[in-house]
Amino acid sequence: MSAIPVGYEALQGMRRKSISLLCLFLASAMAMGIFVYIDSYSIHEWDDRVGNVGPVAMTVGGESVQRYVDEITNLPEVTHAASMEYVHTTVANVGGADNDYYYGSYARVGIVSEEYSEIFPDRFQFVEGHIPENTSSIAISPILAESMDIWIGDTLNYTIEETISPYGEIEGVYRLLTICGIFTDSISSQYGYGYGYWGETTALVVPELVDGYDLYLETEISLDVDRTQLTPFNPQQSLSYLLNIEESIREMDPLYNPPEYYSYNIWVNDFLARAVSDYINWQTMTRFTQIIRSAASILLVVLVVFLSIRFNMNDRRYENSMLMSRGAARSDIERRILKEIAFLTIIGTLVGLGVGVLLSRIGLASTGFFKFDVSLFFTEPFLISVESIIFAVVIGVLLPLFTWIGYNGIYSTKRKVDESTGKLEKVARILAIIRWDVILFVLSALMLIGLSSLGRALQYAPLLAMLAGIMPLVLLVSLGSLTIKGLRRGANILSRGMNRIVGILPSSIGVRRLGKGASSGGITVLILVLAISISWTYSVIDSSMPLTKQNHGRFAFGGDVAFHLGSYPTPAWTNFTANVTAHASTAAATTINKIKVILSSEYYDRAYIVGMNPLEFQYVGYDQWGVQLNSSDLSPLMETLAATPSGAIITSDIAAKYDLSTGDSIRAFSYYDSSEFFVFTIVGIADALSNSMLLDTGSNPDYGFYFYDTSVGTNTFWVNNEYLGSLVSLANDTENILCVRTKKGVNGTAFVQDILSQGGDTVFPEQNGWAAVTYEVESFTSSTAYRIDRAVDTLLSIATSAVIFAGFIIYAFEGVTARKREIALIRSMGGSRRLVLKAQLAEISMLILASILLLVVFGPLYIINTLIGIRTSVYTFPVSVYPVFPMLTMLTVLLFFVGTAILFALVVSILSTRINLSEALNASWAESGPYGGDV
Amino acid sequence: MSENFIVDVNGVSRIYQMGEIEVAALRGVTLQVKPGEAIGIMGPSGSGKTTLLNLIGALDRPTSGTVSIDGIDITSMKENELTRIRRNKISFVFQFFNLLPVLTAYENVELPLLIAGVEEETRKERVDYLLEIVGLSERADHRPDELSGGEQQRVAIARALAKPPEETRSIVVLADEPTGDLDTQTGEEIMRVLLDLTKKEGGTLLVVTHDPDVGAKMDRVYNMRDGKIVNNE
Repeated sequence: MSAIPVGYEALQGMRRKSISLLCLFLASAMAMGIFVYIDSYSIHEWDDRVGNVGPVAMTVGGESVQRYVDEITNLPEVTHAASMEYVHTTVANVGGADNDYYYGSYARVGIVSEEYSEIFPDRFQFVEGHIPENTSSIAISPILAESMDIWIGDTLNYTIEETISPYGEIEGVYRLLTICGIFTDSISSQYGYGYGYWGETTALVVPELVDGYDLYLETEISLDVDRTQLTPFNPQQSLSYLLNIEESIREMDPLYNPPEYYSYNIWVNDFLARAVSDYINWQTMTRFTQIIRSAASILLVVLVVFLSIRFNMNDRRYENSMLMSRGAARSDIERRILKEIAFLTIIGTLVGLGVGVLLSRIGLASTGFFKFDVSLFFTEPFLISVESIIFAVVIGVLLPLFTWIGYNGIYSTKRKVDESTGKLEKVARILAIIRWDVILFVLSALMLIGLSSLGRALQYAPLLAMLAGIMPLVLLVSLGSLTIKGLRRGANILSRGMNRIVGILPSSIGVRRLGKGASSGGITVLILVLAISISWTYSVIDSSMPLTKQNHGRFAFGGDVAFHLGSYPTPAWTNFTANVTAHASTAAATTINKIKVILSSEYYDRAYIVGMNPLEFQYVGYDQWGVQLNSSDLSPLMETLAATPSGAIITSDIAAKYDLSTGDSIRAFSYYDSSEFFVFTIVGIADALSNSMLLDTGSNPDYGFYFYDTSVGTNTFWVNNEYLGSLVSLANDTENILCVRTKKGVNGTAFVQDILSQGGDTVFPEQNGWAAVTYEVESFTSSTAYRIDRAVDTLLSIATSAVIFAGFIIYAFEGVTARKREIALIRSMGGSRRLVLKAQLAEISMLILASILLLVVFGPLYIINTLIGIRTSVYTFPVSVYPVFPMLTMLTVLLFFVGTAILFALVVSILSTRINLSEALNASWAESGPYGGDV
Repeated sequence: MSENFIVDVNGVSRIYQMGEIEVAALRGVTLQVKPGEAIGIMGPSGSGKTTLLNLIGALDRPTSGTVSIDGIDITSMKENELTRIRRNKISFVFQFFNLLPVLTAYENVELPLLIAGVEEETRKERVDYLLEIVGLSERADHRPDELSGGEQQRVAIARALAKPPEETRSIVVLADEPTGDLDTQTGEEIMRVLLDLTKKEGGTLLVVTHDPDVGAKMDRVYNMRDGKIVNNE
């Protein structure tokens, strides 16, 4: 290859290089855009998780741990430390006689010294009141206050010491203490879900109260560390820093001897490390989830890169033939091409990193799918982690590399087969008979039919749901191959068909050229179809999710709003119910009564009986489709139920399990007393029935594959309240739920807040004993996961526009020399520029028509399969998603992409008619030379 | 004087600007061709033969001088007027055939007639006739990649003579090395077809060639060197 002068390559083929560069930077741009967006957005998560760790970064406990306080304080990273003692005891509402536990509660009591209060003044946040200052007062947590129904100023019975004699007699030392404050412990939230009373500080007293008593005291050291070392830019380093501090503390324990972890005296609760670790997990999972969600866009980029590599190879065909005629080996040529592609990939990746950062800002500025708040572009945080750069570079380099390997593999095998004789040729002939695209099409279609028939069961199997989302892409690839073959073989037929529409010449030349360029034409069709389908899917998801949450909420709550009053009514209930019913925003309200029963001897064979006034409830509740009950298919059944006192409408799962039908009797046993049973006559069977079992519809899981096996709307009976009331005490033995349908346009959250402000908040036995559909929808759509999904959808939609441009540019420039000669020939025969333009447009029109035909099949399929795989809740609902097709948006997307393609083709066509006729027509065996050939 | 000539090239020069360098492909060339003549233009590579052909064929414009076709000065014509001239009066036969690969032989020959807007019946008659003359009636439905080099060139020749009936006698056929890509025997055959058909249709033929045998078949030969006509045989 020494005959080729140095530098020859660098400046030649600039058009080819530019086009290749445009395609090759897409992969890294997309990856960088997603990762930098997540990195930057994650600062909010960092602030939420790490920033909200209270004044105590770690606690240290264990046997005789107080001796380590000084040593811990002297650690260089520790800013301050102090110890506090705790005692476990009971407190009781004074209303109970002799410390009757029925009115009492366990408490973990913190004995707060002055020293501790000075070092950690913000550990305990007072909702009301203050820290105890003498031995007559106590501060308690809100949970304790609510469970015992006491507040500041009330008195409770505090057990200082209690013993049980051998005869079972209880002797103790008790003190009446006045509640001086209600506090929250900043550490409580750090222990996470399910920590409960045992580990949580629920009361505070002064040390003097317990002095002199031989009590078992638990000591815990609180400490804070230098948090300036913690940064979201390098969370791994931050985590290592914290873990090193932990290790330093543990090493103070003489029994600490890793890897043996079963004998140690002290333990460390590292809240900061947990927060950083949660942050890292969230970030990793979010990146992974978003890359998986971007599978279709990645395929799009692969197609364009494939086209680009193919264009690169074909553009050099003449040049390569020349070199081979001068003695160059094929391997030399392939090495040259690989060097160029590798070089362009590196440049493209670097350019892509920059473009990706810009894309990420667009993502950060989005508040929904294609909804923007421009100020966020400038004000949102900016973070590029080292990992993001590495991932983006790896993806930017590997994607084209693997595509090139794939391309080379396909075409070199094809070449070997074409050139060979003997066994390989025979094998090739046999393989050619096997229509892999037809087989793939059939298999993927069957798989899709199978997956979609799983129904609700698909929600239990996230891997299958993921497969359901990917299968359409496999189908598309096989359809693409069939399309290419169809274009190739059908070009003549198509051109005859188009004669009358565009004219004989444009259809003969333009449409048939499509058959000649079917390989790249077919892929261009795939690119257009996939890009439109992806954007359509995103817009459908954006429209469908709020409605899904709304309908899930209405079904799960038994109305637009539900107040879970519980059991054991109080006089306040009557006023409360009256307030709600009379409120201006209320369209209808009714009370339902729910009890848990068992249908057989199996403990887990639970069901819910929901007692109601059917004629009232049908004006309050909704069916699983989101339809008001009074307008739904359930309405006639409810009328029948109302007319049948001992009747029941049951769900189909119960009917199927016990082989029941309408008219049969069904028996259910009390959950708490199996000797007690209820018998009903089945008046109807429904697929799913609302049972108001939830106070929220379950947030979109942060970790995509973690979900509850809880089915909403199954295992349910609807019965008449009157009849149920003859079997049990509705007030005391059932959970009373006040369900409300609000008037159209009413904000349920505002309605609830208005009711609560009228004194309604004292009615609920537990915090947040209400549920509102509007609150659900708002929480969901403003949740981090939802916002990230919509933002990534937005930036990927923008990126697909670039992908389409790239695909069409390649198609336009492929065979440009042959096209120019063709145009020049027609012009030399007296063909006008307009005629040439018509021929070009005929070609593009056929391409777009083929795209639209494919889109009609693939688009809806892709949308529906993506929707099937979406989970908006940790629970499973009878209808997982309620699809909304925003026709205007989808039409806009279609017009935008198709319009762009047409406009692009028009511009290219107009430009290509302005050619030098003599140059294009003259002998072009050598592309060098001023005149394009002999003169 | 120009009224008697179908091609009248008068003092034509063509200078190409290659950066700062000017390349004079033609320098003051004057040439006249009567209707029905067969003219050869010969000369070594770089002598300006193809440039001259391109100017006569309205594919390029001279830097100076005038070019007239059938008495019409095409030198400063607008593009759409030139289109009409190309459509009705000029045809090309190229060395590398330049057939449209997506069209059959029949459709390639039909192409100029379609461009000219000739009616279907007349088109069919004309194409059948031309294909018969060049001996390719039975290969009419074949695409160029299914034809041999000689067959492709014959299709090109037939295409060159496919003009609206009223213009047949004023066709100027410009052939640029028509036998350059063919073997000797096929080349002779092609020249025979080209000459016979052009004469039969009453057209005028200008052939650029290196081949002295081709030159010997022409009525007159212009020899060119360094952008000038050096003699006229």
